Amino acid sequence: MWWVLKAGLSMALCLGMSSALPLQPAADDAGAPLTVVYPDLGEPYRSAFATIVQGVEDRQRGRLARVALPNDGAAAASVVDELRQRRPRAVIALGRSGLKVAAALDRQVPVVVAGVLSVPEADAQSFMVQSLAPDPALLFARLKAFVPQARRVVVVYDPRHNDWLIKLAREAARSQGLELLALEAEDLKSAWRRYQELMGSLNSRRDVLWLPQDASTVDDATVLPWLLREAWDQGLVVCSSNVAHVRRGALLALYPDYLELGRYLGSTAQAMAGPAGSVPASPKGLHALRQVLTAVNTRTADHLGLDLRASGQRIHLVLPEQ
Amino acid sequence: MTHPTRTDEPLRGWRRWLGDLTFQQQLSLAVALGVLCMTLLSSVASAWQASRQTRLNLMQQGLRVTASLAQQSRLALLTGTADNAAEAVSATLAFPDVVRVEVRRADGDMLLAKGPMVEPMSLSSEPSPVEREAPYLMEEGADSWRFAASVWFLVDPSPYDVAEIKPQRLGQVQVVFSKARLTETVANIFWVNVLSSLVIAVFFLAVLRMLSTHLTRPLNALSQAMGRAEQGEVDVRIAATGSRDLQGMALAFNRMIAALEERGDELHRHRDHLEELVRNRTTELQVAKERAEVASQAKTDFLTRMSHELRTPLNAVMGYAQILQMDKAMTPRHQQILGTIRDSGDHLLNLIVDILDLSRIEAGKTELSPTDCKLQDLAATLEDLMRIKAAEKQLAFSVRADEHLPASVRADERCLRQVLLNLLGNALKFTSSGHVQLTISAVAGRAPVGCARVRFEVEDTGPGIAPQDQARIFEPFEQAGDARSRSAGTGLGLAISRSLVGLMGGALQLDSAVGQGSRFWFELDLPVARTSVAAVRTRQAPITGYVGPRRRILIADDLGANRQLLVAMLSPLGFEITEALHGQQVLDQVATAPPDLVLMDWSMPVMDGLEATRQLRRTESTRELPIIAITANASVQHQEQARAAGASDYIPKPFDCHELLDKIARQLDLTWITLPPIASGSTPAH
Repeated sequence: MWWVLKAGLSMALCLGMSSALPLQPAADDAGAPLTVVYPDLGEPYRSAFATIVQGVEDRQRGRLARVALPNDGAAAASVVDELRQRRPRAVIALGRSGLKVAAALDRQVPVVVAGVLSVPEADAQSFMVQSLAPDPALLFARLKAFVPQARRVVVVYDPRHNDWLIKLAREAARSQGLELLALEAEDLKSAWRRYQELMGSLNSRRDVLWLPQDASTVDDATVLPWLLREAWDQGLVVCSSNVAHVRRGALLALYPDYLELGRYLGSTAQAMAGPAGSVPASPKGLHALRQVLTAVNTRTADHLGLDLRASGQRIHLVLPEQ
Repeated sequence: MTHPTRTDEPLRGWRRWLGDLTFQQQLSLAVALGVLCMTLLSSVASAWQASRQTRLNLMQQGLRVTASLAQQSRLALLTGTADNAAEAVSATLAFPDVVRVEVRRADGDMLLAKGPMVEPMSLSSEPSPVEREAPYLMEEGADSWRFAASVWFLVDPSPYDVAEIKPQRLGQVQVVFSKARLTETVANIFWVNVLSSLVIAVFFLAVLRMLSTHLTRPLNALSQAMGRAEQGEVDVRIAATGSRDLQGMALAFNRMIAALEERGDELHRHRDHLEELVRNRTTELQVAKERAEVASQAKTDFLTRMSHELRTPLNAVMGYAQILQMDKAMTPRHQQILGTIRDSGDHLLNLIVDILDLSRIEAGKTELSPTDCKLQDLAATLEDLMRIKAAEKQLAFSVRADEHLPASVRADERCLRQVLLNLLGNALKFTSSGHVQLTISAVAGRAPVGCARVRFEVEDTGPGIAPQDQARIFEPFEQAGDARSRSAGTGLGLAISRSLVGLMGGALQLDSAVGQGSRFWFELDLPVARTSVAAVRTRQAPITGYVGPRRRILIADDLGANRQLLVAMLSPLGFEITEALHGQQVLDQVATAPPDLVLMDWSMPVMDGLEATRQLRRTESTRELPIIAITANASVQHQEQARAAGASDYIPKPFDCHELLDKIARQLDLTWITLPPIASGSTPAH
């Protein structure tokens, strides 16, 4: 009950006079607010979602309603009911719980989902989903710039989560002149076996190990330390989609630029809420993240004998911090 | 009332035993028991609590160690390489109490095990929940625990992950912990507690003993003071020491003793006063008693003196009457006059005797003198005595003596005769027509052994006695009947008779109705005499002299009349008579002219007859001299005194002439010369 009250109060504060707005189609209803639905979580997720919302605000041309979702199913249901009654111009749903709210809304309401790594196929076909997984094309471009001798990218992945990403990666690798060796693993053990097999056979001069954001194949407690130690010992380049891996010894990683992502989402949602035909049809499906920043580990680069500055690439985060 | 059961006996024994202990010992015992119980209880409780806490700590430590090992075994289980966990296992074994470590794969196969094998634990075991995430106690035995923890591959939930990533179970670690430290810790805590509690208890007991001594010392002093007070010690006081309560008790005791002493003093004063009172009253009573005794003695003396004074002249009257009756020259007219004189004298004598008898009986001085007595002779004597009177009144008179009567019995014949004469006299006196009958009969089968029960009945056809008078007539000076009959007697007869019958062991009874005559009767248990006395009853024949030489008789009497009577009585029979006026003259005359016999009066001036007799008996020549005491003191007491003084025989005044002559003849062994005797009608003559 407390969560219900809190959600209601939060909506009332954010919507301001929204209760007086008439429920009309978006074209005729320029006053209806754009609504951002995001999970109300603790750090570090709170800062991430707040930054995204900040970006949305930067791009929105009307009023913006923020709906923080408590981690409670009943409260989420009441939020859905409220949204159905208010009929917002468009909804930006962040995180897993935002996706659930969006799935429960009327399909006529334009929805953009973000703040997730991947979604099931059905959700991907219903909404435009902006993943937090960096676009492999950008990753491989950075990799090629920092490590020009790289010829093959090796990845172990769980097809249940990252099959769509690997498809993009194949495309991106090909465009970058790289070979992608993608090995499937259903669980950590099988991933471990894959890694054990790989570590003895990789060529450090041309092979690069890519660690996607997949917790079922890369365990921070056991697999990652082992992998990083082995890579360090063998002089193998490791790139990642997780900035935490760079902090622990990976050479490079792309990580989300949340503010820019928010701005993109705001613009997209704004466009989706505009009059029909004024913008292209909403690009439904799962999209890799292109609003990314670059993090590098200079110690690892020194160990590998790489001069990252010579690449001319912009580096947003250098680790370890000085 | 319920009887004590067998289960009560130990309880009573305990109570007795407790009762023998002092207050201090009981207190010490109670505290010692309490402290011991408290020590054991607190030791057990604290040991239990410590055991619980230690067990909890050790188990938490075990769970933590197991969880840590599970964390560190993840790589080994992931890689299937025991070496990856060897370091963690060794580190785990380095923990105290860890005795064995096992790392098992997800399918349960052993990947690595270190430490000795442990027997299966039986105390408790939980089912192995395969999907349990947290470490848990898998088994518990008497000596060890077995903790287990599954090794998981877990992914922290992220809001970025839409699809849930399921945790993957890699295997399990098991750590066996020894309970030795727990047991040792519990034992250590228990014994430390026991020892520390005992030390405290000893200290506490010492303090308690000191306090109880401080408490009981004044109590003991109080108890001793009470004991001294109980023993009679005076002025017992105790000092008020100890606690305030005990001081109050001591002060109260002192006040109580003071009050008791005050009361004791008062009691003493009362007692002294009472003793004085009793002493005074006793003195008064003593004086009153002495006065009463003096008065009684005076009465007795008076009666004795009066008896003597009356008997002396009466003796002269009746003596002379008898002398004159023996004179053949008397005319019938003179004989009749003399008879009247003698009858009047007899009556007067009887009156005196009755008064004296009643007085003696009332004073309790009457004693029986049983002798062998022939009841048949008694009946004949009574018949002789009463026949004339009956004939005078023209009454039919009969005496019936039962033929079954014993020949001779032991009885006071004089008393018996007196009673029967009295009853017969009354019957003849009050009966105007008809008959009077005396019946003496044996009552069969009711007497004690050696005795015979004899019934005496006197029956008449007189006027009878009204029921209201039947009790009264036995009182002294009371008579039944009309005034005319009443004036004829003293009124003492029935009172004396009843007393005498009572003295002889019987009870005088009366059956009578007005107009139908009276019947007085009584029964006596009389011992049967073994010897029979040959009774010879002879009529007294006139004595004219005696056979043999002339004998000298000394008559000692201060009264000339008495001496002359005896002289007139004895001189005609041929005796030589000398006279003395008092005892001294007797002694003198005996010394100068010794007589053959002395008739010694009792009361004489200068020296009485008693003293004179004693002195004669002291002299060798007169020790056997026959002395017949003659006295008006007719009591048995006087008779005994006379015999004790040495008198050979005794005869009371007024005496019968024939009785005196009988006694003289017996003393001097004389044979009388008489006129021919007249045999009795009812007894054969000799």
